[in-house]
Amino acid sequence: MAVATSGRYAVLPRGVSERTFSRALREFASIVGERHVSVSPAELVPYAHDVIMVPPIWPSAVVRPGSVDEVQRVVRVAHRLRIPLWPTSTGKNIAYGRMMAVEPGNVVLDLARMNRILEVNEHLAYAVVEPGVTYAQLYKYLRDHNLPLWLDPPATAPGAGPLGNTVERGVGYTPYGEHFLFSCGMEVVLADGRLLRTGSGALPGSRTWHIFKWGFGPYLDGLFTASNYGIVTKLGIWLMPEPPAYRPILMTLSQEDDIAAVMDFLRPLKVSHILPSAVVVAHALLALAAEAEYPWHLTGGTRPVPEDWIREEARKRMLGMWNVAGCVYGTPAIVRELTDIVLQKARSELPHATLLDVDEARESPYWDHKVRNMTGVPSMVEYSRLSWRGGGNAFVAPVVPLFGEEARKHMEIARPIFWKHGFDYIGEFIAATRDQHHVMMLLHKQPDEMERAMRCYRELTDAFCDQGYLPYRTNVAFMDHTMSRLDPVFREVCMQIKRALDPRGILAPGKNGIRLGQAARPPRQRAAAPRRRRGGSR
Amino acid sequence: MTPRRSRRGPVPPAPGEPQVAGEDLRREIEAKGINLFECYTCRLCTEEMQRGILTLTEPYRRAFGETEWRRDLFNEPVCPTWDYYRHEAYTAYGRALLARDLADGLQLDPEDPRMREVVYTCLLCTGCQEICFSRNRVPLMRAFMDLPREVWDLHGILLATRKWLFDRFGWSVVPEGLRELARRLLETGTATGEPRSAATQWVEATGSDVADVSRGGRADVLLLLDGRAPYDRRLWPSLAAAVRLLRAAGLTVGTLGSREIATGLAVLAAGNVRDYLALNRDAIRQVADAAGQSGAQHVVTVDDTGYQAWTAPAKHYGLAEEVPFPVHHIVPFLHTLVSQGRLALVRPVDAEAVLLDGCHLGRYCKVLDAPREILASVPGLRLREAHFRREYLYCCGAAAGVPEAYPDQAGWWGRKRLAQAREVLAEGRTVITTSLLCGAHLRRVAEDSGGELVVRDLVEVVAEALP
Repeated sequence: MAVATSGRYAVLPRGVSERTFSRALREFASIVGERHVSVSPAELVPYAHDVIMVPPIWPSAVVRPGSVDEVQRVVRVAHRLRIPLWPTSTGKNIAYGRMMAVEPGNVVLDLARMNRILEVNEHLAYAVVEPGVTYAQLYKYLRDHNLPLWLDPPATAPGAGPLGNTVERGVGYTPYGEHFLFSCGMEVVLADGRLLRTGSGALPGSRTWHIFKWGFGPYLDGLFTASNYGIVTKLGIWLMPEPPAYRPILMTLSQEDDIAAVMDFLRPLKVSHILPSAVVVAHALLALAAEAEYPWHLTGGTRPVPEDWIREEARKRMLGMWNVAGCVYGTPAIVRELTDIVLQKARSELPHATLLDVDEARESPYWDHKVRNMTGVPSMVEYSRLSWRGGGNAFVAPVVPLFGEEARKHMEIARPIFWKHGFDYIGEFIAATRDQHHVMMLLHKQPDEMERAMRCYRELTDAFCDQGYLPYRTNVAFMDHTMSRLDPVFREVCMQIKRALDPRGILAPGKNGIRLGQAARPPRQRAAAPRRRRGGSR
Repeated sequence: MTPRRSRRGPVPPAPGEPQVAGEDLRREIEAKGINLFECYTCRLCTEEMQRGILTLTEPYRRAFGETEWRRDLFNEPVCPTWDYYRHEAYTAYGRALLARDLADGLQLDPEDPRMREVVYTCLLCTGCQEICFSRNRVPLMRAFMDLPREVWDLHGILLATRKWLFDRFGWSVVPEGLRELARRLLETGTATGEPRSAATQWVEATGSDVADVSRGGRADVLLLLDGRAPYDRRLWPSLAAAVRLLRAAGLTVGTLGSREIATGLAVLAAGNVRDYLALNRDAIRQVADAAGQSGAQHVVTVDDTGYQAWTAPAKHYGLAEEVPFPVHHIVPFLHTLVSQGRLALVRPVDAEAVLLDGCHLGRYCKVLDAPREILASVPGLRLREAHFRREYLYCCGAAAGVPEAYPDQAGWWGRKRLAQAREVLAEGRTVITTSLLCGAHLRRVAEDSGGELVVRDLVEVVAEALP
C-alpha cells in the first residue's frame, strides 16, 4: 500500500491517534484509490506553502477525490473518525494562503481532479463548473467553442478557478465583477456526507437551478461562502454576453492628493452604473512593483522608496501617481454616449488627469493587463509584484465607503504604518458600486522580513478595524484575529450554525475564525521565521 | 530515517539543536547565485496560461511567429510530469519548494517511493526553466535589464537536490532503473552494460569507412559516439549516415574504437556528481590524447547528452576544467559544411516530415536554427513544425534515465509527443529527431503503438540527399 502505515507520520491531525489516522487513510484510499492519497512529505510540500509571511503549515495527508460521490464518502469517513478536512479547489488563493490550512495536521481535500465544465448555456449565459475548473480552462472553452460570452477573471491568476474564487468572495473587473452576486445555484457536500442543492436546485429535476437564485424558502448560498459549513462541489456562474462595443477609459493623475477628487468623481458614475466595470485607481508603486526592480540602493530595505524615483520610473511607463482604469460597454452609440459623459466630467473635475490612448497604453504591460481584466481575459502580470522585494506578499483588504475623503483618510492610516515597519505603501482603490475595496500589498522579502511583515499586517488590521473598516478577506494567519474583532453575537451565531451543520467540526477548522468548542481564539503568533534561513543573492 | 514529528509538521530544529540537516543544500544552491525564495508559485512552469505575458521574449516570438504568439491563452502543459500526474508536487515549483524545505531541515525517508517519484520522474528537460516567470519576469522590463535573469535557476535547484540526496543517502535513494543505468555507465562505460570492445561492431555491420584512432588510425574528424549509440543497433544507421555525410564533405573520420568514452549524463541525473565529473575528466583527457595522436582537426559528438555534458555551466555541474579542444555536435557541424558548400544535397527526398526538437540539443544548448536550415536545403522535403517547438518543445520522456526507472510514464510522454507530431502531418509519416536518445525512445514507442509513424534521425534523412 502506498500510504505509509508504518506508525510514523510526519504530523497527525489534532486529537487523532495514529491508529485512527491509519484507519482513515486506508478507508480514504479504498474510496479514491491509493494513488490519490498521500502522507509523503514530498507530495505534501505544495500544500504547506504560500507567499504570505508564515512558515509552512503542514497537513497530515492529502486526499484527491475525483467525483462528488467520492467527496461524500470521504467526508463520511472523516465525520465518523473525526478527521479534520481542509478543502481546496484549484489552490490559487495566493497571498491569502493558497492551499494552506489554518492549523497543521488537517487532511487536505484537494478537489483539483474534479475539473469538468458541466454546462455552458449560450442563450441564458451561464456555466456550471466543478471546483477544479480554472479561469484559463473556461476561457479556452469559450474561445474554442466560439461562444460570445465573457468570464470575469480575478487580477492575478488564470490558474485560479471560478468556484473557489466565488466562495472566497473574490472580485473581478467586468460588470460581473462581484462574483458571488453573479453566481447561481450550488451543490454542497455537508459535513455528514449529505448532498445539498441550493436555491431552485432544491426541487428534484429543477429546470431553473442556475438561472433563478432565490428558489423557495430561505436563501442559503451565502452560508457556504467565506465559511466552513460545507464543501461546494458545483457552482453556476453567470457569464457576461460579449457586448457589441466597449471602451476602456484609462487615465493618469499626476498628484498624489488627487485621490480624493478621483474617488468623488467616480462615485456618481458608479452608483448610477454609467461606469459598470470595477474601476481601479492604483498607486504608481503598485504598477512599478510589477515592472521595475526594487531600489535597494536607495532604501536599504528600511526606508520608503523616494518620490523622485517613483515619478521618474512612472514617467517611463505611461504611469501617473494614480492610475485609473474603467470601462463602458454597450452598442457603439451607447458606448460613445457614456464615454462622452465620463470624459466631460473628468475634464471639469480632474484638472491633473491625462486621458491615455488605449492602443498606445496597451503597449505597457500594466495597462494591457487592466484592459484584459475588464474585457474578460485572464492575465498574469500581477504575479510580477512578488519579486519586488523577494517573494513575499499578503493582501490587506479593508472596505471603505466610496467617498474621496474616506480614501484620503485610509491613506493617512495606512502609509505611516507601512513606513514604520520599513515597507512601502503599495495600494489601489477598487470602486465597486457604493464601496471601494482598498487593496494593499504587503510585499516583503522572504524569509528575512517575515516577522516584520507580520507585525505590520497586524497593526494595519487593527488600525482599520478600530476605525470601523472591516477587511473583506484575510490570510490564514489572521483569520482568528479578524474574527475576534467582530461583535460577539455575530461570532456566536456563526458558531451555532457551525454546530448545526458540522457538529464534529471536521470541515476546515479555523477557517475565517470559525471552529467548534470556543469562540474565535486570540490569534497565535505565527511570525517566527525559520531558524537559519537567509536571504538569497540579491 | 523518519520524518521529525511536531505539531506543525516536519520543521527545522529548535534553537540549540545541531545544524539544520539541509544547510549544505542551501549552501550548494546559494553558491550558484540562486535565491530559493524567488519562486512565486505562479505555476507557469506547470502549464502555459497566458501567451504573451512572459513570452514577449525574442525566442518565443521566433518560435511562434508574429501572429500565433499574440493569441492570448494557450493553457497547454509545460511540465510533462504535471501533465501526467496533475499533482502540484510533480511540478518544478513543487520541487523548488521541496528544495527549500529540505534546506530548512525537512527530513525525508529515502525509501519513500512517492518521494522518489516526485524527484526522479522529473526529466530535467528544462521546459520549466525556459518559461519560468521569475526568470523571465524581465520581459516586462526588457528595456531596463538583460534577459533572461539568471539568478533564478530551476534546473540548478533540481540538480542540486539530486546531488544532496545522493550525498546523503547514496545509491539507495536512486530508483532502481536509473541506478542500474548510472552504475553501468560508471562500471562499463556503456549504457547497455556491454563491454566497450563492442563499440566497433557497428562499423563492420554498416560497412562504414572509419579509422580506429585507438589503434593508431588518423582522421580529420574524431567522431565521439559516447555510451549509447555504438551499442544500440537501432542507432547504427544514424552513425553510418553521419560518417557518409562527413566523408562526402571530404573529411576522413575516426572513432575511439574500443576505447569509446561515456559522458554519462544519467550519472548526473542520479545525483552522483563526483563520479560524473570524474568520468568526464577522464573522457576529456582521453579525447585530447586521441585527437592529438590522430591529427584530428575537429572533435564532433553524435550524442546530444554528451554535448550538453561538455557545454553546461558550472552551476549545472558542467566540467570544472576547460575542454582543451573545441567540441561540436554533428548537427551544427553539418550545418557549417552545408553553409560552406562542402556538402551537396542534391537528391530529392520526397517526404512530408515533422521535426521534433530535443531537450538537450535544442532547448538547453540552443541548437535550433541549424537543423531547420539543413533540412530546408534537402530537396523535396516538406518540413512541418510541431506546435511544441524550439525552446517550447514537449519532452518525449527519453531523458534523465526515466525510461529505465519509470517506463510507463516515459511511454506515455513518448506517445503524446508522437501525437503532437501526427497532428501536423497531412499525408506523411516521418518524424525527424536531432537526438539519438529521443530517436531510440520514440522508435520504440512508435513500434509499440503500431508503427504508424517512422522515426528517423536528422542525419539519416540528410544523407539520403547525397548524390
